[in-house]
Amino acid sequence: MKKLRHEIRDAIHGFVEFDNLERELIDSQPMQRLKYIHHLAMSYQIYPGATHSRFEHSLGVMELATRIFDSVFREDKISALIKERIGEYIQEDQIQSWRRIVRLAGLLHDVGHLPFSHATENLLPAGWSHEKLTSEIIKKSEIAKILQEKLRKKAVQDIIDIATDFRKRKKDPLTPWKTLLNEMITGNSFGADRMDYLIRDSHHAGVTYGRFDPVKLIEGLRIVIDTETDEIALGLEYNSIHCAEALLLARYFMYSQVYFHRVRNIYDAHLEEYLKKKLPGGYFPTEWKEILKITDNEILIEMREAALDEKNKLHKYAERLLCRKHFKTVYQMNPLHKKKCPTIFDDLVKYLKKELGEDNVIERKKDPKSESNDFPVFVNENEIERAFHISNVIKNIPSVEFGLIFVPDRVREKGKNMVEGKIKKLISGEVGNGVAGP
Amino acid sequence: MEWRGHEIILSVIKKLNENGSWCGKTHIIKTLYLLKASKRMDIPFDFILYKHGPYSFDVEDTLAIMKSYDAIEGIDTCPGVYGECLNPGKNADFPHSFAQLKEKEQKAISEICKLTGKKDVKELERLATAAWIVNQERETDSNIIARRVHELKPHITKKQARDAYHEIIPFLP
Repeated sequence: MKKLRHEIRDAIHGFVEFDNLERELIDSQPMQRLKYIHHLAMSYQIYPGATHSRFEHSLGVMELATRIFDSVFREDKISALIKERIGEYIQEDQIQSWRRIVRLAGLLHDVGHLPFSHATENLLPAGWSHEKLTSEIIKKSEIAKILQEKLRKKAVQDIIDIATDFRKRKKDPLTPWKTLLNEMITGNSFGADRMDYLIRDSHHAGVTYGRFDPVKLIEGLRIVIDTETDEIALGLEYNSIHCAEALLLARYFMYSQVYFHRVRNIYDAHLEEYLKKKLPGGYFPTEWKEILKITDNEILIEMREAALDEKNKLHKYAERLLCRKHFKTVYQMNPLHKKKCPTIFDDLVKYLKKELGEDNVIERKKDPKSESNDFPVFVNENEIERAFHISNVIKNIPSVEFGLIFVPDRVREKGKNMVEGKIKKLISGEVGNGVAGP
Repeated sequence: MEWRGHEIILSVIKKLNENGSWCGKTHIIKTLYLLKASKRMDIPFDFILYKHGPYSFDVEDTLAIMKSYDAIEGIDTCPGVYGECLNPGKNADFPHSFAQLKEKEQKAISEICKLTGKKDVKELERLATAAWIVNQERETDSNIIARRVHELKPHITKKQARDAYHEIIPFLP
């Protein structure tokens, strides 16, 4: 007799179970390709354990999205008020069909990633993103065929709507129902994507920053009527607020200590530089069939050849990546410097490029972003609060930003001295547009 | 840095304050959307139709950047009750040295802020959502607009949507 349920042992969540349709999708070429896309690009140069793939993350998101779905639609958590709003979707046949859609959205949400994941996203032409490629692949590849054979006609679009970040949609806004399901995957505070990558990345990198209690957090999630919008939204029970605090702090530390690590950043910059020289026109193709042909493996093989061959025109770029000849940090932006001279980072980059030459200076910068963590909190049936009102921790988690300037090792000391001298002048308002210091 | 965007936001904050606005994040975002919909000046931020009507993650991120160098500051006047009010900070003059607004742009900001300065967030959501339908869906019939607003935001009644449309229409092209 043919097996109806299958399972894969995942390093984070234990057995991840799936059925025959999901197995067919997992076995498809676009999903198998994700085994050869490193989740954290070349972070393994800093954290040797961080060699995990988009494939395992995709399974993890499917698993966590299912746990979130099952938790929030548990009968005892659906009040009469909520039932009034979403009654048509939670009939037995309907809810099972939406559960299936959410699982598949979790599984397929990253299928359009470029080699080396986010590190190479700038190498797509304007107007393209991995989300757009994900939609294309779900709509047009063998995935579409599998889905159309087994599911209702609208399923493909439903999966895309729920898998891709609705905050980036400029047209066709989602209905409140789909927004709710989308939040289970892509949500800023409790999305399965975020929960999985924090736990998985910290596990593989070998750091403790990304840990929180996903079991208790998911148990505390429930659907509420958001008092700000009067619409259904994903909220958290008051008793579980400390789990959300732990998750958001974990995210803060993972960003400041791992994702924005200065050496990790220079590897991303060197990788981008190498690929810009290698790819025709400096960009990845946008044709989905072409994207499916490329993984980290093909790129790494060529990179290694270039690193070993002095005559190869990409030799010096490949060597920086594979022989640890990366540029070194001469400046790391300090928030106090910025308050004294808001243009300090750009001024230093300009100055160093003029003095040391364009090719000898690499800058990486990320401005602070608004974190939008103010989710609804369920106190009781008659009282829905906002997280910012209840938790000072959540309200005051700072936004992570960084500014880094790198130069080749041979001019590192010179560069550092130049930076020190220039900073003194800039923050005392002697040159440039610096605001006068105290 | 996109200094022009910073200068526009600072100008909106000043005008909203002059008109008695609470001047929180939502007030600023909705005002900027109405300015964009009025097509009277270039507003360098993208908007989407989000849970509370037109919304801009670009503006939200720009506010975070402006706070980071003290161009604006947030003040918690009613902690635990309302969100913070945003005011010009001690480096508020800084963007002005890189980007100046034209007189007609300042006039447009003044006029829209006169409309939005006294509105609460729910009223602003209605006005901005009605403007979104007119702007994005090129709809002109007030009944159809009211129906669309109600479809997208079921908590806004058709009457409220129709009233919002009539209030906003003199400001749209």
